[in-house]
Amino acid sequence: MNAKIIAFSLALIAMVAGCTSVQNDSETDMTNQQVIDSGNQAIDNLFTDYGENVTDIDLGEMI
Amino acid sequence: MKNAIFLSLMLFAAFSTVFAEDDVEPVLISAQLNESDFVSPETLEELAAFSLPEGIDLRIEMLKKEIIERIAYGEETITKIIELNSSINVSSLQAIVDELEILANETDLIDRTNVTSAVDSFVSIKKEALDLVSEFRELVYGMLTEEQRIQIREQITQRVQERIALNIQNVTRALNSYKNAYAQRIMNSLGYDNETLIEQFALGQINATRLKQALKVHYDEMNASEQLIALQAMNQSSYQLRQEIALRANNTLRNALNNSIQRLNQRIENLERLNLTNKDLIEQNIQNRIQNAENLRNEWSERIVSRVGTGSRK
Repeated sequence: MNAKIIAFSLALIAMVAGCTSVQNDSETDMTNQQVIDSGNQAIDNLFTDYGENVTDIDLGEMI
Repeated sequence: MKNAIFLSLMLFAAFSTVFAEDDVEPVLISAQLNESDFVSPETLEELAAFSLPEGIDLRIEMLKKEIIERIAYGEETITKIIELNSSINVSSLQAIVDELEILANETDLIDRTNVTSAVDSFVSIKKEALDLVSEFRELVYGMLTEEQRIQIREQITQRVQERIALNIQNVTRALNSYKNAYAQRIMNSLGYDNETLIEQFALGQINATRLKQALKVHYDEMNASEQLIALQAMNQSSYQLRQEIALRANNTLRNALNNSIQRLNQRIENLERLNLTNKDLIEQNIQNRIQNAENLRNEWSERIVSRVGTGSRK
């Protein structure tokens, strides 16, 4: 009997742990994707901040 | 471990939100400055490069090249007008070209080691050059038909380009240095060392889009903790740059007006030492510009007082 209870408890713990693990993985995956997206955006932002497209100064035409 | 990463990400998200809120500031300030018609949105964009010494060199070399190009166009145009009709009085045109010449020399006197001073001088010299070019163009429009202007422009463009060849080289060199410097900064934030890529970008062998793609591939290949460190470093750099640009924009108008008035008064004093035929006309033009700048400065001060009086921050 005790062995059955222990086996059941272990199975329950394993199941909860498994679910938690799946949930954590899913959160990490989602957040990792956000980190990647944010990183790509940060690269774009830095290029913009430094004036990526350095355009000529235009003083207008003389004639 | 996962909890630690998750907590870090949450902290980072909160940190990023603070940055995102501050990003709004430069846009509002530039919109505010547009009202004055002294510092254009294009000029504000040009000031972004002043974050690096190489960018200051680039913008000053570009401004100098543009002014020298207008001087060349001006001189060639005057010659053509005299050829067409020697009885036309070109002294007003010559006075403007002479002043552009003085302005070009003043670009050499800009203190490139002092960011604030360099920004103020750049903005005020550019504004003066824009005004002078506009005045010249209006006078020419009164002297020549559209057909004559097109014809003269076609005749002189090649010669003008030859005259500014050296300045074009200087600008190209400064542009390469600036691209090299800012690509180096961005890659430092990423913790990525690739001299070949930087050199290719600086020399124009690859464009900014291609370099960004390469950096994004590198970033994607980093592990999670490396990505977080790089992301934080990049956002910090971006935040600092935007703060600097906002501060620069906010101070630019008042400082540039003061700089303009100071330089114009100095120029009147220097006129006596210059060998120019139409000093009186030039002096009158400069006095008019001093008056305009003083009016604008007073108007700006009143607007600031009015804003402070109503308790508005913007």
